[in-house]
Amino acid sequence: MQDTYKTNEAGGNPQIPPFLAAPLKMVPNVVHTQLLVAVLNHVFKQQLRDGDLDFLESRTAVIRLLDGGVEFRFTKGRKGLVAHSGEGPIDLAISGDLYDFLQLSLGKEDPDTLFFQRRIRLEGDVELGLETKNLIYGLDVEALSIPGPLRMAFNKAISFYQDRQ
Amino acid sequence: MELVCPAGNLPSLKAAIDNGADAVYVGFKDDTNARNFAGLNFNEKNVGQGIEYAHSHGARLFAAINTFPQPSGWERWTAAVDSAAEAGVDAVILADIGILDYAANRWPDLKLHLSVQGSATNYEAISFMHRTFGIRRVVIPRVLSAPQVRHLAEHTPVPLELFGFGSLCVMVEGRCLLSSYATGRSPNTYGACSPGSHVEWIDRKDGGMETRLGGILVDSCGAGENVGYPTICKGRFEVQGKEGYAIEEPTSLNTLELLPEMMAMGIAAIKIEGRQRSPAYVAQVTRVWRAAIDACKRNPESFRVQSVWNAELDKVAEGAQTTLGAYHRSWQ
Repeated sequence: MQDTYKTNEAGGNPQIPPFLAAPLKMVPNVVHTQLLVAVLNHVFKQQLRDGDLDFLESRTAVIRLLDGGVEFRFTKGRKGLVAHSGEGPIDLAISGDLYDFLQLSLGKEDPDTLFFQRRIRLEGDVELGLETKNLIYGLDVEALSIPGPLRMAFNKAISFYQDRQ
Repeated sequence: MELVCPAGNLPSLKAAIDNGADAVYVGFKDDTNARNFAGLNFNEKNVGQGIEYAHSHGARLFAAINTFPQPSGWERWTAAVDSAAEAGVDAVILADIGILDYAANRWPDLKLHLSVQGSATNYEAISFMHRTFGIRRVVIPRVLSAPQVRHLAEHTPVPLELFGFGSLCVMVEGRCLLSSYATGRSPNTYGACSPGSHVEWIDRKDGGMETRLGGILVDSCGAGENVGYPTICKGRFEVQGKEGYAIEEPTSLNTLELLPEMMAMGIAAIKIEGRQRSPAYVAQVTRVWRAAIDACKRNPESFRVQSVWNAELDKVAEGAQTTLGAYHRSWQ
């Protein structure tokens, strides 16, 4: 009954403009990552204390910003998430463009939706990926504290993209 | 007509209720429910918070305990029923006859719904469940066409709950063994179809991606091609020399346009699939269905599906298409 189907169109994705991507790539990845884990350790303060992130212990996860050409490689240490500079094997890789990560971090898009549309890719230990996803989205909104200035910066970044479309 | 929405966690539950759900359904953090994924679902503490939030906003909360216990795990299922009853849920959604019997005897005041996993597709089956366990509602398997649903509605005193939106599968609910074939685990006993521990997604250099389940190649897609959940039923296979979706295409059910028909049949509730999805999905889908049900209630004769509703739903749909599913199939 093919005629009862309605086809959806896959949408295009705004990308980091080259003039912004170039300087990003000039900074070593481990420096970006140290910034990122500082933010994550703040956001997940309570969860770290409760042991909710222990499943990441001695596992290496990497977040790849495809359009930025940078990657954040980190693991969970004794005191929280730490940047991982070594090469070594990766347990979980999540890749996508900055725009989509911004949408996800503000809860504006559903991660499975972006996965279906191939905008977010997940490789490695899928169970670890699901647990990470469910940890992030299981945080109670009041408890999830992306610092105000950062939230504003994320929103600004999204409207920057939308204005250019 | 009640709108019943999924919640895999507290933020999704709040998103559902804030956007107009009349009821939410949840599961516990184990294999007693059919969305047993790592990090998802409720424990005894936050199910209480969920019930409190629902009740203080005039909504109801149902607990899905809709998998089939094996002899070694029986106490886990009865404990789930006890936890739900003690927490004060408004109903439990059950599938197994033994658990229905336990709940009916141990908690005579607890409202029982028959899960879609219970696979009751004819009114004799529903009447048996009603007579024997006093079920108050039955969730209808998605294999039935609209005339078959109408036939059920006309012949059973039990209120019917129909799926309105969400990912579709091969729809042999409660009886499907495809995931067991590849992983040794099925939604019926373990509570997850294609559990994450058995899934591999492998990016190819050309931008395409391979999906493997239990080591078995189930799909290989090209660059930019939409994908679905990594299940056998949505895989592409070579059958008699032809490659393609041999069982079911990755697709989402969307029955907005059938709303007036469902309302005329006296359907008690519309169910939205997706406890594994995020609060963003729950909010988006609930908002659309709330608006549609309200519009249809106001004036069923002039009800028209608005294109913005379909656009919102298409955006979050699995795969690249939506369908009316079996409701509009004439072959039955």
